[in-house]
Amino acid sequence: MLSKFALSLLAAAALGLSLDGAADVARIREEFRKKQADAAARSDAALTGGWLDTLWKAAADAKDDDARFGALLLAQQVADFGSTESCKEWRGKVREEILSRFADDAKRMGDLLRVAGTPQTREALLARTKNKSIQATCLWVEASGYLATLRREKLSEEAAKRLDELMALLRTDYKDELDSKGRRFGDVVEGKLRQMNDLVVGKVAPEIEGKDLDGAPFKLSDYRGKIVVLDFWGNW
Amino acid sequence: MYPHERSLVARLKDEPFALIGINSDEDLEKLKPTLAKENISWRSFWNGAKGTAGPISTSWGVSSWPTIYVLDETGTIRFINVREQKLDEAVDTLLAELKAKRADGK
Repeated sequence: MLSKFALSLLAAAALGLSLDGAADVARIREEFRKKQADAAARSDAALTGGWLDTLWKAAADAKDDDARFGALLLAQQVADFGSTESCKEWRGKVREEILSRFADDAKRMGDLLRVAGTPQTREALLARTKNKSIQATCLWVEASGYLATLRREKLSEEAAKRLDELMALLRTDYKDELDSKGRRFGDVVEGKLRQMNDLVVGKVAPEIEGKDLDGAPFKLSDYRGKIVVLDFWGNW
Repeated sequence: MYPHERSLVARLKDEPFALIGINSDEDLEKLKPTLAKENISWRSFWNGAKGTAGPISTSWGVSSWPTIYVLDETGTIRFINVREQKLDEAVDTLLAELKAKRADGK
């Protein structure tokens, strides 16, 4: 039988451990932030290896899923950042741990794609998740990569074909899934396709009907006969 | 952007020209003091409470701000994302075209 005193000591030790884990994660997050622009840190096996060991332990000891996911997400970023063989092994190991626990958690997987969305991680998540909204997000992130390339240069035949495929999936099977801002992927993709195909020099701009900032209704076509500068703006 | 837009609107106030905004602020009440302070007199559609995820910018596929289209008198898109000096030149070109057409009686 343990005395009350011994129990409270044990509880304090357990609490101390998890607090230390959280403090370690916070410390590494700060150090990592400072080193991200430092190319030499990528191949510094002692630095990234030390971080990864500590983060892995913090994840194992974490008091809840928020703390666990936070430690693992940072570990994934560190492993993706490092260029050593050991980091390459960690990448798969950390990714597997994240996906085995959180692959169907839309909010956390949105965070994963945003801060550690390498093609490898995105593909692994798409293959693993059963959540349709996460699948749609994976497809859209991939499509967005091609769209960004397309603004600078022509796509390879293979990439252009894949982009068509992704857009077709998003406007059919996934059209009612919502993006992180609450928009239907169907609407987002239709808009993007309209921008690429119809909102080009030489075509007539589509009608806009809406209300002005005082609530009065008006239409873009009210201004036919005038030269119009249409300015999508915001005060930020 | 505001000073340039203001000067464009002021310079062309007697011409067949309009600057039309599509405003993507989520909260109009927070925007209103800026309208007064910056003397934003031109008309804007409001993109709605979803801000940059609102219906107008979504249906136009806009994903970066500002985005600018310059339309001629028939509503045809003639220039995209021209800014500052280039924006002035684009508008002046279209105004000159329009005047030439009207002088020809077209």
